[in-house]
Amino acid sequence: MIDELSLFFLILIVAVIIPIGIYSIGYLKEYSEKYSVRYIYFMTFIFIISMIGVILSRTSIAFMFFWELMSASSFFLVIIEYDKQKTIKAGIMYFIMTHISGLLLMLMFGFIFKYTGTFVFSQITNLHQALDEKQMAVIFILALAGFGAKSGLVPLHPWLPKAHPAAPSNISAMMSGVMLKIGVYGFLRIFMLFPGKLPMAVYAIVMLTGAITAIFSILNALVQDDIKRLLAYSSSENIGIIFGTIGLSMFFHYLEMSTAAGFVLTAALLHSLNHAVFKSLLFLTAGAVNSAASSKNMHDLGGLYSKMKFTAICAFVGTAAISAIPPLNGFASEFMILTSFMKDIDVVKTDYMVFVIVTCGIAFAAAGAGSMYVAVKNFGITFLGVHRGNREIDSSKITSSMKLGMGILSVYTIGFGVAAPWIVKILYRVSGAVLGFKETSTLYIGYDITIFATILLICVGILYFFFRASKDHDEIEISDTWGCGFNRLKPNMQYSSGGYSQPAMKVFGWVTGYSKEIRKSNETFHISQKVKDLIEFHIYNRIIEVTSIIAKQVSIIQHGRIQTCIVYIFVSLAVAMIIVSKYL
Amino acid sequence: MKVYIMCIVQSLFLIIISPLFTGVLRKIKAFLRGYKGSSILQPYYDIHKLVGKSRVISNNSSFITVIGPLFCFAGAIGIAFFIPVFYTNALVSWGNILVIFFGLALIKFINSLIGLDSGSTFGGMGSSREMFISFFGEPILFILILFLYHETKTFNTFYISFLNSKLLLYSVQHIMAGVAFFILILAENARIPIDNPETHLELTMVHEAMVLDMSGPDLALLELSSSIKFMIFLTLGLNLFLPMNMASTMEWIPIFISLAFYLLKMIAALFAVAIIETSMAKFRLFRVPELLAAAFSIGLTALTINFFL
Repeated sequence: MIDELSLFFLILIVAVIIPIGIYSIGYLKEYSEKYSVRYIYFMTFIFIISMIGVILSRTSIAFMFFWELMSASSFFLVIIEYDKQKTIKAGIMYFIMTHISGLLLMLMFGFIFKYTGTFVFSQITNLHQALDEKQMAVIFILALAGFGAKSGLVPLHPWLPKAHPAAPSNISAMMSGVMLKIGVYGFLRIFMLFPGKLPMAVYAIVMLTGAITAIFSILNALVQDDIKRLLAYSSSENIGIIFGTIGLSMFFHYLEMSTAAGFVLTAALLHSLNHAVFKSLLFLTAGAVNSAASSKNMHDLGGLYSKMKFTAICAFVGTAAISAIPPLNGFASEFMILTSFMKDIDVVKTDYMVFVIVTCGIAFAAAGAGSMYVAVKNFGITFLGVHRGNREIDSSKITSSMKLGMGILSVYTIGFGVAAPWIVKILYRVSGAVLGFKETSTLYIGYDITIFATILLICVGILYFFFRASKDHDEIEISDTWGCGFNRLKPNMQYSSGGYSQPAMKVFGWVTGYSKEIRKSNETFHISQKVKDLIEFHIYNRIIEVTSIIAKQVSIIQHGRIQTCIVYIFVSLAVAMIIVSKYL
Repeated sequence: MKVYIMCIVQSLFLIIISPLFTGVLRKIKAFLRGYKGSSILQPYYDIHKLVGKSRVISNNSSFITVIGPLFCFAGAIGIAFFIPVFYTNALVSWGNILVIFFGLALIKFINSLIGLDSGSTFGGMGSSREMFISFFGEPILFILILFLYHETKTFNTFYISFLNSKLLLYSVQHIMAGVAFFILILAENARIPIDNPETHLELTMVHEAMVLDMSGPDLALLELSSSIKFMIFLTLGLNLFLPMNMASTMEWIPIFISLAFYLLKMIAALFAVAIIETSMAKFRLFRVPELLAAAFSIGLTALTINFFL
């Protein structure tokens, strides 16, 4: 019944959910004063069950049922702090986006039913050859949009940076770490059901969507001041990388290069796993920061290491992983992804596809460097230096269960990196199942990561022994930071979060809607920086305006009587049925 | 077995000789500017002096200051074992080129956190600028690795330099890629025209600003690791793009010839760096992307020629 692909995602969910669950026990104590914790647990339970349900479904009806259940329960989890106006707004945004995603998927399954006449996945696979290229293209474009909206591909991403800050951090961790991967799973499932050939442009679209998502999101992440908004954009970037890599794998599959396709798909799967781990870890540390310092704006933070050492070290591990620093897990997948965009491209004979692949590779390399910029900013401004705000930091709010949850994820982060050469061998079997090839050879990526980790460990051990442990331990002089002769350093003289990313904004400001505003009041100049998500600002706001104009017109025929509403429902159902049966 | 011992020996050689190359570079610069300059052994004396001193750390500093220098140095040493210096072989199984560059990013990563650690303005400035520059460096790196892969069909640095050492003629695109890599070396290692390693002026603060609050053995480790990083970059540049006369057999005479050639090429490369550093002014920070974009275009052109012609 359960195949390798489902099993992999099932393991991913369980492995990441357990530490998050442990963390939640301590973290939700803070919520117990104001909100119903039992309600949160219940909804979380439904959420987890529905995600597992999506993965185990073997018919499109069951798939859509659990998919909608997952959307609805996650919506209720996002709006836990229902008394805040902002949360409700973000929740509604999320609700609409997730339903657009559901609608597109329903349409997709509808088309699949129309073409094959069945809802059962195993029968669909048998019938896939009946479809021609155009029908396949329709299904894949709908799948890309539907699953992409759930996962946060540009231009369907704006719910991510709104919903993640609104939700409690354990929920954000679950949503970003696990739920976004369900979108990836869905796309791979469709790919597995229809392994035939698509028009070549579809592969280019998948890859370029991934590349644009990666670049756009990482630049937007760079300018955020809110830790969780920053992490949300960074999730979107990683999803872009995953989808782009899947696109490449599909293309190699099209060219019937099964070994190359398997390698690339393994890279995508490994990145899904690794992103689930390190992004959950970072969201959990953000939650710990939010509990202890009661702020998630970097302008009020800084110097938190002195108060919350364990959290800072976990955050450091997550930061190093997301920056693709060997030997951590982020490096393992970044390494494989960049390799897959270089390897085997000389077999590609279509010139424009070569161009697409190289462009994607460059975009992902730049996004990798950008995510180091983002991660260093996030960690450095929050945990290092001096505290900027004037609020008390209550580190007692970080309970031992929270620490345990973050600790387990940190261990995963290190372990999945060092053990990457062995993990990819297992994942290669999953890719083999997805791509439908039976090859006995295993994937070999070299043991460089493990060798490097070993050398690093030995060297650090020896150096620690010589420079830290043995002598002069009491000879350390602790003094003020050297201000180059200036001795009145204040916390607000440190580099701020806006200042840290300012050089990049001078070059890429046009991507993020960056603007500076200078005001003068009573001999004082105030400079403020503003950013806006350009896609949200230019496209979504226009759509909302048009929709509200139409809604006003439609309201003429609304009387609020339930009988008339039922009439409308049946009339529209009848019209829809006629349209579908006659014209589609 | 002999091969592995040779690889370890050459890496140890690179680690030990790195400060000497820094000294040679300073000597050449002094010569070009017309003054006597310090001894080429001066970097060793500096390290010895710094290691003997006690540590002063900032009261704002965190565990990054404690473990950062150790990780930096360990990373530099670790990567030194992944590259060919004067001996190469087609059989070595480690040495993936991506691992090398990402491993070197460890040094950059730790350095930029150290910059933020003490809470000083200058550190943050250096850190921010370092990240900004590396943002533009990464695509160039991708293009150049892709170029090398396309040329030799392997990611292993030992194998790449083994194959390229057999080249009798260097093609145009090969030289162009080498030029792009040279610009990348200058950018990644904080040399003029991207950054000035000699001064502590605010305008030139990239690398020096980040280590401003370090002292004693910590500073020694950081300086050593950045000097090793620079030499790893130069050695890689030579061995990937100009690996003529490299030894690939375990006999004494080829190895000595190869060592002599390696030293000569290193001195020539240092001379080129010195000429650039003495004849050019530092660029404004916001003109750095233009320079790197130029390097990117050169790399892309080289790749295109190799791919389509």
